[in-house]
Amino acid sequence: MDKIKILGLRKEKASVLQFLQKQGVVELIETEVSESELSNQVDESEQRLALQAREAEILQNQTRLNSAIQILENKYANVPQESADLLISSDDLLSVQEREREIIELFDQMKSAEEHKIDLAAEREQIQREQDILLDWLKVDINLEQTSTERTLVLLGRLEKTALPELEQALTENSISETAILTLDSGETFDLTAIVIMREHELLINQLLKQFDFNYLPINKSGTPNQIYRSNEQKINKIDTTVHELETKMKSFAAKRFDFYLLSDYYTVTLEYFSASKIPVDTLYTFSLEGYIPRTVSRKAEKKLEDDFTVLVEITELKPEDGYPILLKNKPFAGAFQNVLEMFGAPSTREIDPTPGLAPFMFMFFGMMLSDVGYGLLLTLGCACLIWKKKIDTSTESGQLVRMLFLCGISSTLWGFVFGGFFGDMLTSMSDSNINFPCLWFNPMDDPQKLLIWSMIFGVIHLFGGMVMKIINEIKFGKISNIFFDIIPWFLIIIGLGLLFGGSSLSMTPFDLAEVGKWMAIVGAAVVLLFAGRAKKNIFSRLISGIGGLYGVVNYLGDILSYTRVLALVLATSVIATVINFLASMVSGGIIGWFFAVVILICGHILNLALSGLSAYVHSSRLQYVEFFGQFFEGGGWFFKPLRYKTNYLKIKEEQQFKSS
Amino acid sequence: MIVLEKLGPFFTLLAAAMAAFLPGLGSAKSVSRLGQAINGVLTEQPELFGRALILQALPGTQGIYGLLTLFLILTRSGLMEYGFSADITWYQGLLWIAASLPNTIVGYISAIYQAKVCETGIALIAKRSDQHARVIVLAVVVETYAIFALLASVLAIFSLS
Repeated sequence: MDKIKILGLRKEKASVLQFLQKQGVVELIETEVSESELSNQVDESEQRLALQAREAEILQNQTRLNSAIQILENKYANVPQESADLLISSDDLLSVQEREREIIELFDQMKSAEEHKIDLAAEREQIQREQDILLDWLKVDINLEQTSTERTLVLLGRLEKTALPELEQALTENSISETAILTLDSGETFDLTAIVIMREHELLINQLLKQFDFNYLPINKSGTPNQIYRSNEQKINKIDTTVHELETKMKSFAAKRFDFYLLSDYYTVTLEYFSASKIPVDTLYTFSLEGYIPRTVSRKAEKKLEDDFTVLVEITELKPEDGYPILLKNKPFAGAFQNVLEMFGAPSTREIDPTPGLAPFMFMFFGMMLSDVGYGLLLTLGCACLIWKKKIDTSTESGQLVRMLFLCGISSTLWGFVFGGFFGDMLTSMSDSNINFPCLWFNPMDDPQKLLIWSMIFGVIHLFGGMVMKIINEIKFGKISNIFFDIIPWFLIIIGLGLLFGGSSLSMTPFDLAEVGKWMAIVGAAVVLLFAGRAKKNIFSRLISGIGGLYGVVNYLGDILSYTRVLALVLATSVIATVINFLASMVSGGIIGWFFAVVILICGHILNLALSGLSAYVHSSRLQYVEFFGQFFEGGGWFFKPLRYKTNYLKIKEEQQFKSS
Repeated sequence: MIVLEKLGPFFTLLAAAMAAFLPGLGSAKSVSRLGQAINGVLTEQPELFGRALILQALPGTQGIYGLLTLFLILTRSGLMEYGFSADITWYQGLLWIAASLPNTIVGYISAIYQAKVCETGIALIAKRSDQHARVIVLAVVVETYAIFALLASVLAIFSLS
């Protein structure tokens, strides 16, 4: 990583910045402007205000645009796009500026069409409700609007048949005799009635009617029910045709959603450019900026900049002590596991990139925890489909995850053969124990103690891997003595204790392994006791530090025991799969039985794959973060984030002239 | 004493049932609490649904571990195969209860404690959705102890049969 300083003419500032953004290789450094420099800065309030106004406009447009894109993607996702190619050149992206008005107009049309559609749908629903009520009243031949005279009121509504005599009785009890109840039409359980009352009784009768569940007719239009029904039908037809037209219109917009993507991404890029353009320090005629640039391209960038612009470029080589952003570079296999590190945080500039060390262990532990041929193949095939069929962009965060899961699926398949798991014990349980899936090593369900020991042995190997990383780091820091006093003794102690307690069972060599182990552990412990406190002058405080150093054995013990989770997760995956197979074999038999068995198998195993896959991912990550990184990782760096075209919807073709080769 | 002698299958079933229902209860409690917290976040940021769902699922695993223990006890004790006629003495039954205790108790409690980490994690991703992965790792540190308890129960079950 180098530092680049650019001093140039102010009138060229915009084009230099745009050039840098297009190349995407420089991370700008925000410099703090001192008081005196600030006074040198020209007053450009007018320009700045214009810039701010444009920025606000873009932000507003972008929010609206994104909501429109969301609508189109949710409802019309399967409408084919006019231009299906989401890969565009950066010039195409920038030239969209000329069509900005046009696209915004298109967007406004779409928005109003969508709103119109929603309004019409609400109106249609209301009319439909009226229609449902009117269906009962079709045979009634009165004008619904004429419901009153000067002294009387007509109440139209539905009344339960059983309620009619009770209502009549209640009316006489309340001595309201000037009321007529006319039955206009009758259904199965109800009558359609018109109740003619005197205006002065209105309140009282309304109360009475409420008691008897009188269902008022809520329509007050002119014409007989039949006429209203007809005219409503016409209205609905009209609405339906309009909605259909709007629908086709929306589909035509959806086909053009590429333009919306284009404009939205253009806005994103422009906003990033605006915020970058605030970083350089301006004087009346010049600007200056500083940034980080990868060493592989720095010379080429210097030449290109000096050729194309009137600028002075200075490149300084940075040393690890200076501190600079981290740009990880890994081979394809290790690179797939880079996001595990990116999630944790960047290493410091002084230490080794942990990715190559972490990758094989992540591969191994994920595979062990899932360890099922069926699940592994499903995972691998799913990810392969995403990568090669759907062309998912593997440079994005989710794309990297897919790439990693693809590899992890392969590992799970391999471990599945080792432990003999194919969707749990599906073959055995479905064939009534006639077929057994072969296992190459042993089945953890039959011999969990064996896997318990082995998962701790794999854990020790993992920890030793971390200690090797630590050795590499100490060599980089130039502290060779630390290797012999702080790391090697622990190799001796751990291997020694392992042999001491486990060696007697491995009686394949003529040596007494336990005896060898004992002496290894004693030598290691002696070195730790004597040298852990070597920085201290006083002999007693040095010994006390040594005892404190020996206490580290507890940490290692805790770390090693932490790997027993591998056994638990292996068992969890296979036992849940077994339960699913058990349930399926209980219902199987007959066509219906087999149908349900297949449904149970499919749903259950997909659920188990999701849950066990998530567990395998997070727990193998945790083993990296806590146990592996705990051995050597310092951290404290930050990742390289160059000024570039960062888009959300489209992908920009790589056309940088000097992209690292 | 005669009554006690016939209680072997009962104790075994009790062990299995406890292993399933207490962690399940803890998981249900936690998942429901998280669901409520997530609903609050979703009113403002519906796009976080996918990420929040994973967090909600995390304390659900204890319930699954409980089911797993139940299954292992039922098969290993022979209760699933022989049912009423299973030949289990009462002190064997008590041993099954003892074996199921680690997963039963730690599973129940760790689910609730894990939910507390997830709940604050949801508040965190509502503000900074890029921190999602770290929140998961922090919650998984709590789950470690549910896994160890499961391991303890499983080893005990395997050593009994």
